[in-house]
Amino acid sequence: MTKTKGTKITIGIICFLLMFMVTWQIRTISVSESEILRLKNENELRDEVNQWKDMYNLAMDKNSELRSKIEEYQNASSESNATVALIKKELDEANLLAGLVDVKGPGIRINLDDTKAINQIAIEAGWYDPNVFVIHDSDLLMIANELRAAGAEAISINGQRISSQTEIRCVGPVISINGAKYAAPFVIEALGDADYLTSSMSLRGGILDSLKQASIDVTIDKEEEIIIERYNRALTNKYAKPFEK
Amino acid sequence: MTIAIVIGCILGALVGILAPTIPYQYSKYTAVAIMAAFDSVVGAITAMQQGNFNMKVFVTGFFTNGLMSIVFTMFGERLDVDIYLAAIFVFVDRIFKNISIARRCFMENKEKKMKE
Repeated sequence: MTKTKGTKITIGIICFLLMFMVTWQIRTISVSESEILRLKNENELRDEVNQWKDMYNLAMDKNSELRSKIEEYQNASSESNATVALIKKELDEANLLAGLVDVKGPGIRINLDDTKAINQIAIEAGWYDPNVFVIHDSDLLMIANELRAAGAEAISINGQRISSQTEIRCVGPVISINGAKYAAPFVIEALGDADYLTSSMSLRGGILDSLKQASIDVTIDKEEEIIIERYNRALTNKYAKPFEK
Repeated sequence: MTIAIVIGCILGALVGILAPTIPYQYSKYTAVAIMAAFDSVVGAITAMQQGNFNMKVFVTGFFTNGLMSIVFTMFGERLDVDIYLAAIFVFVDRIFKNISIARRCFMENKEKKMKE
């Protein structure tokens, strides 16, 4: 074994490389481990969400199945008797008024979307309050109210029919409608006299106008024929009982 | 000799601590390279005990083993075969064999010296 200067330096370099790689690797692994744990946690949560979604879909399927069964019974009984047929007709009308059937007719479609691009820069620069540039539950409520006032016979927001028991409520960053949660963009469909609805919605100083002032993207489309789906949950009365004088 | 080893180790540890960490997916390559390096070092120790240590063989072995193991790992990644497992198996196998050989040689050398 020669103990020259060159040998020593070579051995030193080799030791340096080996130790360097070992410490490097240990540090990389210790840093990554926490990341892997975090990813795992995220995956588990995602699985859970998917499971709940499946359960929700299953319940919805069952719901529609039962609904069709009820219809079947109603049809079957109405065929047999004239009085029952009359009752059936009344029931159909009541369902129509309560929003329990899909309806079709002329109407308007309002598209709302949060402010993008240019104002985003302004918000980041701190010139404006970002709350001004997003659609709130109160905006949707006022629009629904305005549509009712203009004679809309059926209204839906993102496919959720506005019934007598529908809520439009702020739940943190999203808006809950019929228990389903939505964020922008919103599509509001209203069935009624399309011209009248359009003109009353585009009033100066009206709700849509003030939203436009806040740079929210608003478009109103007149439609020859729109289909508004029925209220997809059951209308329930737990406390209200009919009262006769 | 000892001073060179100690200084090399300390400097290596320091640089390793200060260097930025690599992304997790590349840590496999470093791990295989580390095992190759260990294999070379243990091989060198064995050769020293046997008295046929050659500096050139050691240095070239150190680098070629490390690089080739990384190349094979990458190749295996492309082919979707865990070649790095085979590489680590071979390295660890050789490390243990060399350690046992070095141990025997070391004890024999000691006994010879005692007799002398």
